[in-house]
Amino acid sequence: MSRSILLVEDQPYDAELTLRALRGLGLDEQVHHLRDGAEALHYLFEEEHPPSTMPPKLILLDLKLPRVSGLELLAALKEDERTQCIPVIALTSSQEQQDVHRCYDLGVNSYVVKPVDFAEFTETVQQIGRYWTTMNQTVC
Amino acid sequence: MQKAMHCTPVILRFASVGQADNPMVSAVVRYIGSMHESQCNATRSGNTHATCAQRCYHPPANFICIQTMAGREATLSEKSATTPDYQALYDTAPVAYFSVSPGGYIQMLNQYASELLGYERDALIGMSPLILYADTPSGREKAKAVLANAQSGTSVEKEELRMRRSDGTLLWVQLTVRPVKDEAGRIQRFQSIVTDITERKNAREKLRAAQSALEERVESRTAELRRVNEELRSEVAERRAIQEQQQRQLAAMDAAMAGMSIHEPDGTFRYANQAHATIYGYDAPDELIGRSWRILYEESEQAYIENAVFPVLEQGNKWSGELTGLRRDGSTFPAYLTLTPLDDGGLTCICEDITDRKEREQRLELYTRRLEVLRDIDQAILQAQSQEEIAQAAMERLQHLIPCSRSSVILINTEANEATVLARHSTAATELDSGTTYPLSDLHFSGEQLQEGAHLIEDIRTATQTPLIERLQHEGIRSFMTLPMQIDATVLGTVNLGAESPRCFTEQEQRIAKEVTDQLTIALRQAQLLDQVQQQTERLEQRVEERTKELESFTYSVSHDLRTPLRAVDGFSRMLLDAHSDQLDEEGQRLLGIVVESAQRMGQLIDDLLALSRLGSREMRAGSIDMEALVDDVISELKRAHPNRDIVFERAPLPDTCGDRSMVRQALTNLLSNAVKFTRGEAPARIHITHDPDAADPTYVVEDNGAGFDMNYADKLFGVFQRLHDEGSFEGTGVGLAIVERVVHRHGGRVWATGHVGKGATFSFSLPTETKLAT
Repeated sequence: MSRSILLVEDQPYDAELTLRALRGLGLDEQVHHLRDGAEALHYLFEEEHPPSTMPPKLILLDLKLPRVSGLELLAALKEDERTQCIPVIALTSSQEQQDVHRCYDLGVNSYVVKPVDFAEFTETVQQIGRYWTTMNQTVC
Repeated sequence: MQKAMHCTPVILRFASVGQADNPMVSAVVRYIGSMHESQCNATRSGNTHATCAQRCYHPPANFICIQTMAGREATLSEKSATTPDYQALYDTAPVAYFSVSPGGYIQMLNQYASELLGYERDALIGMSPLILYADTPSGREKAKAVLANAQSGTSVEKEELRMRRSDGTLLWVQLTVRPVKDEAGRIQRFQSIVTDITERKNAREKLRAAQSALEERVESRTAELRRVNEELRSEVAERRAIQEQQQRQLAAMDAAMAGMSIHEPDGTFRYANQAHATIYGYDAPDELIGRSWRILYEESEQAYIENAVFPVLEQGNKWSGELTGLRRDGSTFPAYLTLTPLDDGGLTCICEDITDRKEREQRLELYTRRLEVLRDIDQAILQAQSQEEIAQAAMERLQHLIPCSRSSVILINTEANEATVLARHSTAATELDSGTTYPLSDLHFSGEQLQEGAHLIEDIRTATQTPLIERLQHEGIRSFMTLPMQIDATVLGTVNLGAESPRCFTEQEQRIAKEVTDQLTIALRQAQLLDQVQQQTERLEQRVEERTKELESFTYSVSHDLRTPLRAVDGFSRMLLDAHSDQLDEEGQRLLGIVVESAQRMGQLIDDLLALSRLGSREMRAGSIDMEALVDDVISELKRAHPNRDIVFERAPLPDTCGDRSMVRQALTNLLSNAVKFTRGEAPARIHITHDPDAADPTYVVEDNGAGFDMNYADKLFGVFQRLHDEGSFEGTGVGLAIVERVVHRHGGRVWATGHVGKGATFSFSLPTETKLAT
């Protein structure tokens, strides 16, 4: 079964906390975890899952990633016709305005700061998961 | 005259008399001076009125005619009384006699009378004697008066009257009229004696005229004499005045500072004052008198005077101008002369030795030129961008003040032991062009020599030969001047002036050169310092830029990386507490709780720090701020956040200001949050927001009745992470007030606080309305 949520996150603990939060909604099984932008690009455009046939429903994107950064990946996704309709949520620790502005300029669908507090974090991730996978089906 | 005669009728004979009730008189009338006779008929109506019947030429004649007629009646009645004996005597007397009736009509006249007046005797009988008088005041009018006088009964003796002959000629007569009375005293007639006194009268008149002419002549001669006398007297006075004036003038001229002289037509001195002699080096005016003006001028000047000055004078014009005077000792001097031609062909001369004035003029001119050039150099220096341009500008302009064929500015670099030609101005080609660098040893003067001041080489050929001197000599330089550009003991370089002839620089030129050099030194020094400052500024700016970049990347890292492990600490600790609490005893759970709490606190610290850091780099968006609205907004937010607190906010009217609204809001929020936090122990808590009306800039005050603080630590209030209360009493990261301070400072304002422990705190901050917002 195809995984409908892509989580691009280099920090394993953050990834685990995100998965645990989504587990509460039963969405954890649909998450495909990738560790940087390069992996994500490869997965989306060159692997056996071309986006044209089986696009993910949601991409959760950390910004500070090794090799290809979250912003670079975002730019690539929004430039390509095949992927530009996939909702991308920037899920990051950064509150820097330059990051926020850059992301929205590139066409991100939402920018969410990861709370340090676990309870708040869980609540935030679940809200995202709920909204973008069940309530919002038509994006483009 | 003819007409008057024509109008005077003479009755020749009566023709008929009318009836008694209507008396009618007809008379033959002839008009005096005319041969024409006519018949006149007249009626008598009463005593006064008569009407002429016919052929009367002139209306007044009618009246006379009737009057005449009335007289005639009387005359006719008296005629018989005259006796023939007296008649002969009467007629032959050489006096004119008239006998006139009391009514005033001629009754008789003698032959002489008729001859004298040229009338037939008959023609005058019955006529009024008045017709015989000339129609003038001395004639008929006077005669009327005489007649009237006689009729009143008195005699008239020897009155002179004017009569008219029948031919119209006039004569003067002496008239005597005596009334002849009867026994009863009634006037019978008048006896008139008329003597022709025309000749006597004329002779008398002539005498009188001759006398008056003589008198007139005497009078006019006297007046003439008087006038001549006056003229003579005034002329004498005038001459005396002129003489006195001349003497005074002469005295004044002698005493005058200016030389004055008067020359004969041949040019020799007629007069000279003492000053004139002195100016030209003579002891006394006598030495000049009688000698030619030429002795005071050299030949060339004499020629100039003859060719250019004299023609002006010959035209009758004044000439003024400068000439070169020649003193007796052979020396010359500049003289200013004013020459005025005289009527007799001579001339006057006023002269002055203007040596001093000339020198002053020259000095002033040089001084003015120097100032102009110096100011010009100033201007050029101000406009110059580099040291080279400054030096070049100065050298180019220096040539206007000092005649030199080359000038250069050399900079000395003692560290590198070399000299560089910074600028050069030359009329001839040279090897030592701008930018040329050579070892210090090539310089003609050592550093020590230069510190002593300017050096002048009067003649390069006699100077010590150095490579530089040889080179200059080769380029045709003969005299040479080097001036150090010196500040304190440091010689920055030299200004060098070269000329193609020996001993070329005067003392004054040396002074000017020094002046320009000093000016140039200051300008170059300033330029050097400016260069240094600019370089330093550039270095500093570069460093700031680098540090800013470092800081930004640091902040970015903090933002991303520091929170991630914290989230892990918090997250996994919670999971441990939630899922595995049964495996932990109470102490274990308490310890894990501390871990969670510390992680959260760490997160808060990082957030606050990042907020503070962002304030520094964030761009300001300035606009006007409605402070009342902003404060009210923050207050209502705080009320919502603390629903269980009893807080009384009092916001007084506040002035608007300008600034970055979100930043100011942040500062206000922090200040009011602080007040809310530190009034936790009060019920009610009172928080007043007011402003200081006396302050120059809008100044806002937040006052509370909370825990207050110790003024000894007031300077630590706004420091980052500085807290005056322990964490147990009042939580906080110690960043809030630091943010307030940074916001206020970035707006160019000021923030301060006063307080006492337990008695509340007052925070004040100003936000200028002017645009002096710090970037």
